[in-house]
Amino acid sequence: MGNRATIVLDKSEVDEIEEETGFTPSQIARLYNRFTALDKSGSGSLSRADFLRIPELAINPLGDRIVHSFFKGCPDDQVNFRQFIKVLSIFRPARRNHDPVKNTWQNKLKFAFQMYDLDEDNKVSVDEILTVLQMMVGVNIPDDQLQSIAERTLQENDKDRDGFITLEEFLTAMETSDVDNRLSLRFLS
Amino acid sequence: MLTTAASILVAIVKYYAIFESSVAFFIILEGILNIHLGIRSTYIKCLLKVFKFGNNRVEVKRPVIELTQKPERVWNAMAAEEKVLEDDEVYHKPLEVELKYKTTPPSDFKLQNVLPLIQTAMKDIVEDEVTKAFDAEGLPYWNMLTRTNKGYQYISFRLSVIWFAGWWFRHFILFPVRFMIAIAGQILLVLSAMLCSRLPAGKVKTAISRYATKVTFRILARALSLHATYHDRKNMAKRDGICVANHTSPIDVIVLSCDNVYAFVGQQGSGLFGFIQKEIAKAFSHIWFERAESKDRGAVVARMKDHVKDPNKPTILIFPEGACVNNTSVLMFKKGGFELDSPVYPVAIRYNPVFGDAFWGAQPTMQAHIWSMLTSWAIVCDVWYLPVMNKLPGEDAASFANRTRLEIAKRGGMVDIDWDPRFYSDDKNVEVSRWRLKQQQILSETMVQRKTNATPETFPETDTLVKNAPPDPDVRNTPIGRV
Repeated sequence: MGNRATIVLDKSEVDEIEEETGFTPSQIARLYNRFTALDKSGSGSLSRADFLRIPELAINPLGDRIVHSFFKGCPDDQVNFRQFIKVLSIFRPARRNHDPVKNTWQNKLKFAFQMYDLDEDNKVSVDEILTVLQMMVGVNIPDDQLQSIAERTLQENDKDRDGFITLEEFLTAMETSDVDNRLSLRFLS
Repeated sequence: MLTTAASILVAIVKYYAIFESSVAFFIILEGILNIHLGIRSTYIKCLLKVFKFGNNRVEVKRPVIELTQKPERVWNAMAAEEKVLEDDEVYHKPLEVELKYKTTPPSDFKLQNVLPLIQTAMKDIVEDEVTKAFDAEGLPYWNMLTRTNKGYQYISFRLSVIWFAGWWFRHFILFPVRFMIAIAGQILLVLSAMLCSRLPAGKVKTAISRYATKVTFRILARALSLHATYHDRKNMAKRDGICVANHTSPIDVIVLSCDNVYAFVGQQGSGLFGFIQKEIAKAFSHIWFERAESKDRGAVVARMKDHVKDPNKPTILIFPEGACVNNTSVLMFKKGGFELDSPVYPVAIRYNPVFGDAFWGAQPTMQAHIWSMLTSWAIVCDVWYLPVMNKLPGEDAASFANRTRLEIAKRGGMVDIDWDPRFYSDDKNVEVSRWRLKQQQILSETMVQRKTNATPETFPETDTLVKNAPPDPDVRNTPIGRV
């Protein structure tokens, strides 16, 4: 099941995915439809080029980072459907009463944290903040101004003064923002 | 024993060939004489009845497939709809550079500022308007072409029989007839062009060449079992100006040429197609460009301007999208044809996908595309002639192009998407970086307080950033022919 390319889904696999991600079978069907639509080569898995063929994604300043987040831990640089839907399940709206599976508040914020954590060492340095800033504003702001913004951001959020923002510090910083609304997509059921 | 079998076979083949050729000849004759026997409309009505029957069978069967728990019964997920997200979640126009959570006035950068970008990116991964414009359109019910049979692998014996009968009918009865008609039509086209070019220039030549063009295109239309309904013919271009239409397939040319005579604009090809192009250019006034010349937009526009000034020359036909789109949406128009200071006659073409998909994107090559069209049931479309449009004083070509595009999309019931369709097939990142720079510029304004007043030098040139009209929520994809 792991990384084998999936061409069709059988019922047992759909049940597994439902349990793992919390999507309903019809939602899984729609997402599978989307997955195959993106898979132009028909190989059963997506490459980075397949993602970046979506024009709106290609022009998003953080597009490359977001695409990269799908590929963590995938061999051969290919994303199969299980991996694809696992990442997407983080963006299901979290409901209070339900058992959250993947879409917890923490998981959503962890995804946002990974945007900053370029070298994947679970901490964010001032250089990483600077790089992300450069991605977002391009050449419109001079580098020295960006450097001071990055340093200020680090200082504001680095509570234990070790020069890095850890995941816990990041979560604390984001407590005030309305994460559930901002990192959720309303899937048609 | 063997010889009698062989002779029976020979007899069958002989009668089959005679039957096919006589049908072909009859249809060609019908085309030349322009008689409408109503055969095609009856054929199409019968087809619809058959499809509906098939659909009922499928609907009945579907619950059974899902309830069966046997593991080898595959549940092919492609039967589901294309929509993934709820409607208001999706409906923001692509390239909407205003971010949803923009804070006004610009405040200091915070770590949260990545969140809206992540949100829109994930939303675009799951469902985006532009990709939907380039996938073949989904059907309301199965039309018994294997290529559209995505979800139903084995439904019922009766349906499979009907499907097989349909397949046999399309490939062995329809296809040979159509193929013969197509060949005859092309030969006739070249012959008539050769004849007309010999005539001395003047009114007679123009009249004869117009008549000959219409006849040959009518024959070619029959080769595809084309059934087009023309609406509002009073708005049709007479002999001046430019006709613009949305582009789905090379067939658009045939559809429009059956009803009116146009001059075509295009790149000079090679081989057989190039030869045909050269011949018909001698008799009718088409504009063909050499490859090098076509890159020089100024030269193209100049030639078109000359053509338009001449009152004897027919209306120019152009497809401003520049690429074939899947007929559910109308993409950005290139502004070249709108710079000519002449009236523009918009036309909306909408194919009914139930009978055969005219969209050239689903097949890799031209031959495959033609094959798939010659073996589909029919090509059914509606053509709407829109009232003439002129450039308003003070309007620039790009806005005029956009205004026309919106009219065409509205009339044809298609969604309008302000995205350059060439981007999709182009691997160069020119468009990406231009749009991305714009995004970055907006972000910089909203996210960061500028300490200096320095404006960036590398500001992208904005002549292709057409101002969008506010999204019209009534423009939706309504398939025609919902009988």
